[in-house]
Amino acid sequence: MPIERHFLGWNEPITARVRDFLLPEGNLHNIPLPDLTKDLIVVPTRQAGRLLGEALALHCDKIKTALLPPRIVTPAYFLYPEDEKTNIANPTEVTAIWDEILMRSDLNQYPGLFPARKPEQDFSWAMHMAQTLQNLRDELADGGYQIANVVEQYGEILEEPERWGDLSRLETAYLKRLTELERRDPIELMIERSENPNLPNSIERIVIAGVADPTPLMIRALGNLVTQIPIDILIHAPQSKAGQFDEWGRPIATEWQKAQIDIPDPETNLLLAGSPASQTHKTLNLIASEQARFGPGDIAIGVPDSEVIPSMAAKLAEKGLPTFNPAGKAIKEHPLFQLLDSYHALIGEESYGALSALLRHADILEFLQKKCDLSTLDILAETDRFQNYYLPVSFENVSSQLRSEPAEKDFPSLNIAVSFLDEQLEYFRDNEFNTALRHFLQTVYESRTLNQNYPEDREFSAVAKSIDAALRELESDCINALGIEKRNLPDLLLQRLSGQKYYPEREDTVIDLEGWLELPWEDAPMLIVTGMNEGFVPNTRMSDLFLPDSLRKHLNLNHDEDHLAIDTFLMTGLIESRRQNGRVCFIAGKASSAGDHLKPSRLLFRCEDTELPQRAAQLFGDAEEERDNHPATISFLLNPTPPADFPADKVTLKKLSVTAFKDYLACPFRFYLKHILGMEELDDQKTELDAMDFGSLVHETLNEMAQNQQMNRCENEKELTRFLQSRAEEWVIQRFGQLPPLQVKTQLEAARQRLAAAAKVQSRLTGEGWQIIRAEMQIKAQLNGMTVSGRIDRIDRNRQTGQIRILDYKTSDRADPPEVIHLKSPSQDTPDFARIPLGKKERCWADLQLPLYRILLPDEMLSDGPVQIGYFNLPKAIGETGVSLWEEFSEELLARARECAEGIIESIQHRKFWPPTSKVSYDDFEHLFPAEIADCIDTKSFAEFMNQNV
Amino acid sequence: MTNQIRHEAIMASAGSGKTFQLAHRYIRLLAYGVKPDRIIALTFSRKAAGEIFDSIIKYLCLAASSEKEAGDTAERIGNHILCQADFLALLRGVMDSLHRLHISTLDSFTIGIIRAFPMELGIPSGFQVMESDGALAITARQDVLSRIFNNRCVDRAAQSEFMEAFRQATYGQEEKGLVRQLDTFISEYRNY
Repeated sequence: MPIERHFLGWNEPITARVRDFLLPEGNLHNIPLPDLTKDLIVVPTRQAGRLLGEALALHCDKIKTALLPPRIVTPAYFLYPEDEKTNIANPTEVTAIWDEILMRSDLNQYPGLFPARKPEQDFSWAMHMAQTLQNLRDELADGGYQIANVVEQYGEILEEPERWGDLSRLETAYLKRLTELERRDPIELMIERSENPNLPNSIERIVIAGVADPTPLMIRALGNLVTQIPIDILIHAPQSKAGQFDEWGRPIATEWQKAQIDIPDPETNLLLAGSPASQTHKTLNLIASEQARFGPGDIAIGVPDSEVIPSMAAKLAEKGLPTFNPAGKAIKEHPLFQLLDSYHALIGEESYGALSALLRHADILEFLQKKCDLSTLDILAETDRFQNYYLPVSFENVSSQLRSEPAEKDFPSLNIAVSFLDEQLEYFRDNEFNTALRHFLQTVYESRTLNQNYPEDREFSAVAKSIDAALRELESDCINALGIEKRNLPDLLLQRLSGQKYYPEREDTVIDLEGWLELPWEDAPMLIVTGMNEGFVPNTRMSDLFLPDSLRKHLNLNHDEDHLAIDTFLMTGLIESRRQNGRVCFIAGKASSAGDHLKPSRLLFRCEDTELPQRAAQLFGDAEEERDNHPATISFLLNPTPPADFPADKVTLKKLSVTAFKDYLACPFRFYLKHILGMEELDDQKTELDAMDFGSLVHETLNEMAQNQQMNRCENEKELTRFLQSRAEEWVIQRFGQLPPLQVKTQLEAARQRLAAAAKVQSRLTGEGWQIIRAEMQIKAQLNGMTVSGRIDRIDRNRQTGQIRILDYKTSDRADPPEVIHLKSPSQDTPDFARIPLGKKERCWADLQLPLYRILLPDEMLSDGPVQIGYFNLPKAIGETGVSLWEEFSEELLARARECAEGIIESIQHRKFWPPTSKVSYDDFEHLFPAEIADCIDTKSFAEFMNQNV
Repeated sequence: MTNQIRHEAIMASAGSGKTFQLAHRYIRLLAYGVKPDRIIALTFSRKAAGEIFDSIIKYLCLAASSEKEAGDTAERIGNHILCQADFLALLRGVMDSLHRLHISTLDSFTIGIIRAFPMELGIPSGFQVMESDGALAITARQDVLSRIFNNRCVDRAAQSEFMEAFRQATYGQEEKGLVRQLDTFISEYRNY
């Protein structure tokens, strides 16, 4: 049978030319029902097939006839016939057999392959290495080789014969093991099949349509079919170019790799853009500039560089132009896969992180809501609260704490949710992995009904089918025979799935985002090709673990010159098919999203020498960067007024803590958020005691010392140290149990050292006559109609002099004296009542804690002399531990502090919470305000709230 | 031919023309017949790598555009016989070899080598490079730390050793927080 090449011309896109070839206009009038069922059409990609099918259907619709459509396949069809029934090893089995070979091999026997430090032969390494070796075998299979064939046929030219010898021996071991397990190697079978490719009996003609890069193995298969069936090769080029293609329609490298590409009007149709986002902006500008000529349906966009896709899809959607990516989506990005991943982490590490990820998964939350009547909000809030308090690192930490008082009562929803996961863990321990996973999924989704009318449900079904298929692969006799450890099976499953895709259906789509190989099949008159950079077009790989370009060339595998020739031909076709009635623009990126420098494609410089300097200057110039990440775009304003159901008594403060005054001094608006609305930042990844927890540990321990009559008078440093350290340990055990997390143990050790230093100071103070007369003393008094309360850490009195000291424990890193903490330089935001003239300098209050303790101290506590105020510092540099008194504190400062406190109270009573301070040293609310607070807030509503009569 | 080019180290302040000198040295090598893929030009930052690349092309384009510019460039690189057509040929050579040019950051050049020879270096192939302060790196660091803290991943004896080492490393500085300090420690010491 003959192979016949047909040159379709390139004055319109290939889809139309192939359609006309299959449905010649002259013939259609004589045929009531065109029948193409005897044709097997081979196209380069799945999307090309979809576009061709659509073109055939539309054409028949237009001429008002029906069509018996052809079978449209991709080149791999000949090597993977659908009706094959053999004991071919499935991909999971292939990986598992490689894993066994690699884990059991003595790597010292393979010095060519593992010349350096031998890797740890664990399952993770083996899976990775298996993938590497199988990828090599896949690539060689394109040329019809196995590794052994390369060694046999090309041994003399191999630059690393010892390495290839090792690879070949490993391959032999793998094939031997396959045979023992009564499995066939899919690659071996594929190569065999190329000698005798099967064809459905109904097929009477093969049409190879626009396949510019058939692999040598496919050519071999077609060569074997040509004796049985006619083969038509359709080439998207004019007859005059016949000499530039071989008999299979492949561009001849020597003919194309230096060919010029005539880009019309390159000044306007060749563009340079900075980042991927900037390429998107250029694209949108082009679409806007041509909207009079080309509507959305007339435009196609090429995205050879996948980094451009996210911003392109987002920006086009914003313009009301939904996009479709025919390349599909990775299964590992689907929530169902993420559920598996978290389940895997839970059964593997039993870590808190895995538990937390599962409890935050929408499908788990939905299940708990439906099945256990738990509120999602309660589960999430309890999880955060629990995490912040108990700092769990493992599942065991969580479940043991929840079994004990008071956690059991404090976290009821979390308790139920964790019990469910505990049951799943138990089920996993008692059953096979596959059984346990199926049980888990069936439980979570038992009440979920899928509606195939919803795209997300169809996608869910597709991913679920892939998971089911992968699980079936794991359940094979072969996998059982390999005896893989139970803990490794989830890794096999996830690896199998993570390389797979699912294909959302194309609907309500205006613009397709096509890969490079699909573009010739796009018939839109306006074509914008982004990502015209080296590495994408041509898709050249200049280094490879085993197959450098030089060896590829020897093996007749696709190499750089082939890529260059094919892409030159494809790019020419894109241009020529729009030269008369369309436009094609090419955009080269200057940098990747990570900032790496990108090189424009070589194809963009295929011009006359006389044009080259200008072209090069154009594409290596400065790219105008159109940033996507504007400093901040506020799409809605936050309304900080209290919600309708907010308790009225909380809106107007009647009580104020001593320590809250510094919050108002720092920023009136943030004070409002914290003390009126009760907002606080919760960290869901808190991993250790925070500063407040650490302070509580030290404070409570020292308070116990003060309350203990014996210790209160103790002058023995060692005895005091032992007491304090043992109390600190008890504090930790009470909160975290007998086995506290490592990080807490480390923090406890730091606290022990600080307390030992404090014991030394305390014993000296006792020796000097100081005695703690009150500890944790509650104080409360009315100040301008506001109840102000506080708790003084300790009050000391000297037995000899009667002098009184008010001391506050500080566990800050630095041992700052009180005046440094309480006073600062004023700024333009400082209210008048907070300002203090001190000599020539003006200072202002930053904190009122110690002066307020002094003000609120009951009269009976006042001695004859002045009361001293100060800190008992326990800083990280333990040598600086000690009492730091505010020596300069005077009656005048005391009066000023009172004025300031009254000013703050009055301001709060009059709802003066605005303006916010522009800069604060620590901002709990920074994540709420991406720009200046005033720009993020509905200031009008807030002003109305502040102006309301109190 | 290339033995006429000496080793050189240029130390100069910012903005004084180091990139200019480097670009012309590159062109000089090309003019001596060195193939573009046999030249490596490396720098520290991505931005600088891009600037060097652009500079080389810019000066080649200028020299390939007119005889006068060609003469000026020829003089600068000390190869007076070159004319516009020669520079055009050099520009064409560079454009045809874009895929093989090594003008990059030290990091990306090193990563390229590691990617090509992981077995020789005893590391897994297909590794992923993370930006030092990128989301991936932060997550990975948190993951590693949480594993250290998890008794299921690290046994108690190893944890005790770790704690003792930490205590000795922070002797006299009783930090409140371990995690933040470890994070800082890792960030600082990775530079060595």
